[in-house]
Amino acid sequence: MGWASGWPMDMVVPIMANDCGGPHRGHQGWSPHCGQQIGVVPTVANNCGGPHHGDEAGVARALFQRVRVLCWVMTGPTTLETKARHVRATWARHCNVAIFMSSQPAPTFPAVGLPVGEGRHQLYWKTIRAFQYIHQHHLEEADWFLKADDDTFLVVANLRWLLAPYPPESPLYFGKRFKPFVGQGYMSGGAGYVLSKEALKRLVAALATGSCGHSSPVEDLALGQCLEKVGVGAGDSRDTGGRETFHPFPPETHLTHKFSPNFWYRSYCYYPVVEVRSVCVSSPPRPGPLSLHPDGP
Amino acid sequence: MIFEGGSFVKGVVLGGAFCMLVTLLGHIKLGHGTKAHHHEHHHIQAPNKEDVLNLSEGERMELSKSIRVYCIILVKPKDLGHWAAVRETWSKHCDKVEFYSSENVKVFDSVALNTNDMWAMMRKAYKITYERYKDEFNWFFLAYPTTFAIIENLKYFLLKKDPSQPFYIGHTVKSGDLEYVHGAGGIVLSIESLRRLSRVLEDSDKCPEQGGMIWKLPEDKQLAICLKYTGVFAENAEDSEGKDVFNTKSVSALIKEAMSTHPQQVVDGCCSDMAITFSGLAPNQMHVMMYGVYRLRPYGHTYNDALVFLPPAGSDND
Repeated sequence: MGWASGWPMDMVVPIMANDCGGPHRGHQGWSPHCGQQIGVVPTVANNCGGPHHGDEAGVARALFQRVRVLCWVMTGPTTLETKARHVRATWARHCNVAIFMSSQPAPTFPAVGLPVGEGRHQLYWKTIRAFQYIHQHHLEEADWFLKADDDTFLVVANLRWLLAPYPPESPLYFGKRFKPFVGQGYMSGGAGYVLSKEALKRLVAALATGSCGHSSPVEDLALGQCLEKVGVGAGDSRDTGGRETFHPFPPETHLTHKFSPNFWYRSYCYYPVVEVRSVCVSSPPRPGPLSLHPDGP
Repeated sequence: MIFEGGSFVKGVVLGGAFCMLVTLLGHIKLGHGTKAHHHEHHHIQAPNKEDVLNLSEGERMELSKSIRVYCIILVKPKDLGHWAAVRETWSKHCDKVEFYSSENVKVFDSVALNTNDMWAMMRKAYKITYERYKDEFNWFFLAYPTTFAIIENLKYFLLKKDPSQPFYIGHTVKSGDLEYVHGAGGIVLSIESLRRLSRVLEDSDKCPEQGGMIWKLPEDKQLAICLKYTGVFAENAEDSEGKDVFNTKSVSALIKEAMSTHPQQVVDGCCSDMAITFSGLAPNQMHVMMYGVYRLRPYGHTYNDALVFLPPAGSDND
């Protein structure tokens, strides 16, 4: 496919001291949706992958510029203030652009009101409409387009590390890879997944021509089938130690729980499930869900 | 006869009730919370970053190596789940850790104290510790098994403090006239404090084994009373922004509080970046904390700490 060689790794933008250079500077906000003018950019107080009290974030800042990620968060009117709010206050700030997708507009949040209903059976519709919306209004603002739930926790810096070697012009997507039903596998919806710009373009084009349709309400599976059909590759998101970086369960489960031999997860995982009690040392990318309870960061 | 007996009895009853009342009042906390008595608190701060950076490389190395922390964990068989978690996680970062148990347990090694009473356990544990380790360690950290501690942050906090001075540090609470270190947040004693403590423990007037006049005081209060007699006072440990570094609650509990008191600044407002302890954690949560504190890293962020405190050689955790 050529993407392995094509990406200019030496193209690092020189970063000036406090210049985040993120898309929020001078950005107008979205085009009016359903007649509502939303002047505020969806990203809330963008942190630029920014430094905390004395840590050096030069590399993270460089990656922020070079690997632009748009995060869209699947939420709804009932969980906006209970769950999505915490996403907004925490990791969403580290995305280049963050958009909250609901079924009703909420301009003060801010959240987009997609023309869909609520409920599990509407999930794929919501996903389709969300990607179409992003393609229409935000295509040029990012290189990668990530979907997360409002109870997902993402370490955005690590996501950028994962994506950095791949050009966004390649048709590729990453996530927690499951093996059944789709030849090349598909990405678990709960763990979050990210599409390259080319993947997004192909998805939207296929929906427009009817080559992909609303084949089923099972969002992740249906999406996986469509992406395979249009030639988007399912990437391997494991780190250099072969460890998974996208996690469909909360950290406590992954760290302490012993899955029974018959647990569905074992037969779904594309790569072998490795259970190690104390996994050593930092392996960078660890995007993945944490159950966000109202008391959780 | 009965009439006379009646007044006598009344007198006795009244007198007894009055006596109890007076003693009760003596025990009851005056005023709520610590804010009213803020000016009487002892506060102690973490070292300044600049101070540390101004030291030479050699001095820093010396400092890193010279701080040695001995950990005492007071356990009972009913705490086995927490005991296992502590054993497998943060306690490996102590220079030495021992579990002082009310009674011997087959599964794990421990120092058997042969008593169930918390104050008696604490006394014995400190006595044994002093006898055995007074020449080997300069700082002594006592915790319960529901506590999670970050020993590296403890060492950093103690960096420029002289252990030959009487330090008694933790999360302090004021109870009437007494300021004491709340056990749940962990209790830090310097060798000098431990030395004084081991002497006053022999004094049954000042520091009796059955503490408290009418009812028993909790062991962390007893400790404070005994130490006070030797001139050792509790100090509340804080970072450079004034945030507590010893916490008697878990991260989730603190975040919940932050969400109601200052909802705009939850994570920033909740806890110190160099927190030393959290308490009230379930065993599984300790594993999650280890992952979050020691393993999970955001790529591209480097933490240029001036010092490195490594866990003891051969400890097989993080």
